[in-house]
Amino acid sequence: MKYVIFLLEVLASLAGLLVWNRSRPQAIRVITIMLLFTVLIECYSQFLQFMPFLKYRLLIYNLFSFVEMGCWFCFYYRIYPSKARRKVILLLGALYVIFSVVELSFYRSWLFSFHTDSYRFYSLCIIFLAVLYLWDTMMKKEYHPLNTDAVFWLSAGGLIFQSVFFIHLSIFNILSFRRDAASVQAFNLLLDIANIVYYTVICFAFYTSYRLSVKDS
Amino acid sequence: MLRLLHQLPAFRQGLLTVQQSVILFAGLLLLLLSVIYIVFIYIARSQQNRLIQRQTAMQEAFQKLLLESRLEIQEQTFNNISQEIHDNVGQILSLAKVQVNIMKETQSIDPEMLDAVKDNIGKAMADLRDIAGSLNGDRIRSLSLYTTISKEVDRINKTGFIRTTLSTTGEEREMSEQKKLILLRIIQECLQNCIKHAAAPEISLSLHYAASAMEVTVCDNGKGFNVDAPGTSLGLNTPFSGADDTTRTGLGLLNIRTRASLAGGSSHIESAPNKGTRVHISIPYD
Repeated sequence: MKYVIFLLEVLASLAGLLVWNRSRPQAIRVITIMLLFTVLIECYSQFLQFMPFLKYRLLIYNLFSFVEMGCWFCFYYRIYPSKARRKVILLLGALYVIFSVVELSFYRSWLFSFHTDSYRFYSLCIIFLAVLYLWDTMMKKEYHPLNTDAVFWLSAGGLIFQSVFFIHLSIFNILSFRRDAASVQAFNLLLDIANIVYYTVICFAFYTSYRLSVKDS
Repeated sequence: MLRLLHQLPAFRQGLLTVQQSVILFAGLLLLLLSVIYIVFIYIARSQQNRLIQRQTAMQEAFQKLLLESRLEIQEQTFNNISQEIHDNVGQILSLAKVQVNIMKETQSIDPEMLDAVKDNIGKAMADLRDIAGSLNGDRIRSLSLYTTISKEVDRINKTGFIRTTLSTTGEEREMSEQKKLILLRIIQECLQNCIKHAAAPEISLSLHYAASAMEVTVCDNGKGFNVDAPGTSLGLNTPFSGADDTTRTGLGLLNIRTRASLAGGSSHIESAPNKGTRVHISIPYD
């Protein structure tokens, strides 16, 4: 399954690169950047396990989470024209950084553990922003075709993935669950499905972005 | 998904604890809820888009109809003016010319005839002023619907062939200029049908200012036609003429229906061969 997911990640990032010049809205470029980072990280952690600096895997994951957060928040920041919402996004971003740094520095370790609590906060933020965008889309008074709205599909993908990932991180703290191979196997299946949906929807989002640029030209 | 989960050995052997099952199902539930939310938004948005598209199409059709009505009213006005100039102004001026010629030939100035010439020229000038006024778009717009229709009725009565009566009930209310134009055009269409096809000696027109809509009824005692004839309800027939008049509705009637519905109102036509025709139109004020 991990190969399928990795393939979809590569495909999504390639799709992002292919439509780079025709990205509508241009803010989705940050998602392409995030996807490229994801491919590199996954390549490193999943396939290059023989490398000597494997011990830094968690450090890289922790640092990557900041990049990921930065990309998603930057994306939503550029999407929303309202100043009030932008302020909320900045506030959430700042809170996440502070929360993560505190958690990693004082309660966990940069090298040996992942900051699951602050990351759960980040998941909730993305769920909130995605739900908000989807709701706004539904409430729009004017004609708004969804087959040319990349943000709608990215938000849909983000919502599905982060919902499952939130639970995934929650069970990280339950030792009995983690120790039970069957439970982990069952949940991993769910996570894999969420991953597949997420990257497929992202690919579709890039396609809709391309369609919009063709329509505009 | 559930089938996949059931394929797991832990599920089959009942190895998962209650807590673990709850967590798994919470994940599954959250995933399903997210999907349901997205699908709900997608369907709602698609329905709204369809509604907006339909509204836009109706708006465009309304604008097109408005433009058509304006052009038709303009054309009707030109026809009226041409007839007016030919029948009234032309006749009066010809009479004045004859009177002047008589005075020239008799080499005498008859004061009575001179007064008659003066009166005739004055009448012709007044008629021309009226015609000039009817060409002024602002004046047409500023007139109330009742005034505009009564002018139309006067014009028909002037011919002397058809007797047209106009009555009004209810408290007069203002209507948007666009709807006024469309209603005026519908009434003109009804009157034209009565004159051209029904051969009606009498037409009665009544305006009723109801609470939410303007109701207009045009009745005639002419030939009438079969409303239930095939194709009539669809309004697909060609303009009626000659013997077919009694069994067919024309494009005129189709226009009446289309215009009334695009203006947000309704129309109802009752007719029977040799029993005249009654057209009822209802157009809301807003």
